[in-house]
Amino acid sequence: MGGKFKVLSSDQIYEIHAATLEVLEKTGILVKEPRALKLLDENGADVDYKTKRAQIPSYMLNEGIAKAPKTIRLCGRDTKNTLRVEGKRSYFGLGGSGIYMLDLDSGERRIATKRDLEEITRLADALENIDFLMGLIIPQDVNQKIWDRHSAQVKLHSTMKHSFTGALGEEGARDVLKMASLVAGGEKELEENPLFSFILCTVSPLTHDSRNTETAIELAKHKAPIIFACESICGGTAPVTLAGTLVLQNAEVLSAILIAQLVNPGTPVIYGAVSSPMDMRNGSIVLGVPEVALLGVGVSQLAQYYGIPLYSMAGITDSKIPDPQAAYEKALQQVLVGLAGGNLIHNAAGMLDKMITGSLEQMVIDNEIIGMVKRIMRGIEVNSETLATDVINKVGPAGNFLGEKHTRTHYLNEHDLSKLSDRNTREAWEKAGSKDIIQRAKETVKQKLRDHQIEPLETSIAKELEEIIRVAEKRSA
Amino acid sequence: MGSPKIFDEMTQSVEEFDIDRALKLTEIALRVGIDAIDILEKGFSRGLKQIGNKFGRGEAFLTELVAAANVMESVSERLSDEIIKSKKERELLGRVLIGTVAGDVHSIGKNILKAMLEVGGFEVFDIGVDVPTSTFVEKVRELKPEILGLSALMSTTITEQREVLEALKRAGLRDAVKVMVGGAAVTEKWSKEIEADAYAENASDAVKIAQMLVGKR
Repeated sequence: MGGKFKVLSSDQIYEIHAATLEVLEKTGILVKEPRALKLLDENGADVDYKTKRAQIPSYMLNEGIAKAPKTIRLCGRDTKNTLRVEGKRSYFGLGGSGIYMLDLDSGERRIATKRDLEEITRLADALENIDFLMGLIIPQDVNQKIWDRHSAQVKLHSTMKHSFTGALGEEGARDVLKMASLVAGGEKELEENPLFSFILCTVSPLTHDSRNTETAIELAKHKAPIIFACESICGGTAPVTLAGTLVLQNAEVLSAILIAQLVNPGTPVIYGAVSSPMDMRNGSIVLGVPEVALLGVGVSQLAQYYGIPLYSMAGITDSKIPDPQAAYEKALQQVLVGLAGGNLIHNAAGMLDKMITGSLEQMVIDNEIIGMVKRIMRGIEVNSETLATDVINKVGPAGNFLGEKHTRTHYLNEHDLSKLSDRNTREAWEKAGSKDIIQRAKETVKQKLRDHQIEPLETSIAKELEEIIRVAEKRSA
Repeated sequence: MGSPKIFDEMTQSVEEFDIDRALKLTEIALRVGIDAIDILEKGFSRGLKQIGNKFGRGEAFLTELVAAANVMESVSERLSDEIIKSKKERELLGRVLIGTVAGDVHSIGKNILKAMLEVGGFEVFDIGVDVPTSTFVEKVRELKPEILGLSALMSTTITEQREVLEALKRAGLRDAVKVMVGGAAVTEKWSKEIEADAYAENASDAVKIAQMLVGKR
């Protein structure tokens, strides 16, 4: 369980909340989708239809927050992979925005393909510390107008874990939900056991664009879990200050959540925070920086204040390759946001070069770091057994604890065994080939891809998925 | 004609990011008969160049660059009629038309590029976001830029960049302008596939490439 690490006091959280209310009441938001604007108007917002601006009174926002479910169950094809997203529980997963892959064999950066997506998905399914999936990359070798359907197809085939996925417009949402319900065994079954959550981004500052809102409306009707993610840039599309970014993010995400609750009260919604700073020396966003960790911790505390499940970010680096910079940038973020209880921590595994390059060997390395973070999160168990006074007394001065039952009983629970990190002596390491972590990670990738298979979907279902894509292709032409 | 002192004050107003002062100085200069082009070139541009140099040395950041560019833009806007009437020519590397393609509302990258191009010696026309393909074509015809910059953030909207290039061909304007493409989802491979003239990964590179495209590098 997280929640042990905080950077904001409760007073500061309240101040951020109050500032958010002020922004929504005074500045308001731009809502381009007409149905959403009308809903806001009918439910208490001050709406100007010409400028499409909606000013939201605090009571209205508080009602929206109250309607959002406090706990959400996200499911995979295998029920053992069910996630209970609530409170301070932290899960770790992949990212979804890459367009390049680091080639496993040549190390070259190349364009990402649907085949890469299959390997990524299957590898993530095999890695024990990855709790949920995203595509890591958007396959570039498919029709970009319907990449969401291609991505959904691969995920349904290649993993038994829950996946976040994209949906392009109302049509995309309908198709992807249809595909998922085929595998879930029906629409009602899918609603009760959602296989997919959907990520929709706000446009900072303070704008809900038409297509994403239209998609949200369609998803809300089906009570499909929606992640409303703000990806603002400090100093660019958000204030340069971290607190100001938290306020802006809060205003955008809470208003998106409000709209979803107005469409269908009780729609499972997840607060998404993916903001990052800009390097003002050149205009690029920077991701591997401590400020991203601070934002991740701050937003975890905010989401806990509202009782809304959170999609946070940690484990992202500016490094282009799996090198020491990648390692320290990722680890610092993963441990702090994990300890803060960031619920669904994405970009935690597999991502390099800000958010645009995926890497299979990095996924394996990240799996290892996450395992260490999860151990840290488990903390120190203190009870009469673990205080061990009985066995201390039995062993006595100058004895040893090796052969004791207490040691046997508690060893594996107290101490994690590394799989990837090398903890041998120098001699043993040399004897094993003097391999560095990258070589070992690559070997692990190859072994897992070779040995890990997913239970195939029924042929009839596989055919129907293919058919949905075929029809979508035709429609998009 | 033109007192060097007022030009110095104009330069200073840019360096201090003071739009009000800049506009006041502009009015004074016009009243005493200083040519609009001289106002821009001898007064304000120098300030922009100073900030640009500081930025290049790491002593100023984008936030200062954009603030300085904003001062220039306010002054240029005020002088738009006078500029047309002037017999003098601006010392510009060229005219760039930029916009975010249809279906895409992201603007921060484009806005950063605009400021950096202005500092880099270009005249920039920013036609905004979600710009229909036909508007790009119209504006190329109207403004005759040396360079057209197309911004698209998402893999679903980069296809519009191809649409614009095709539309330019159909209108017989493809050869009249150099087309640069950019945005997070744009790759070099894509830019070659759609036969754009150039691609840049970030704003700094884009400025250098733009300077090359107009033959000034």
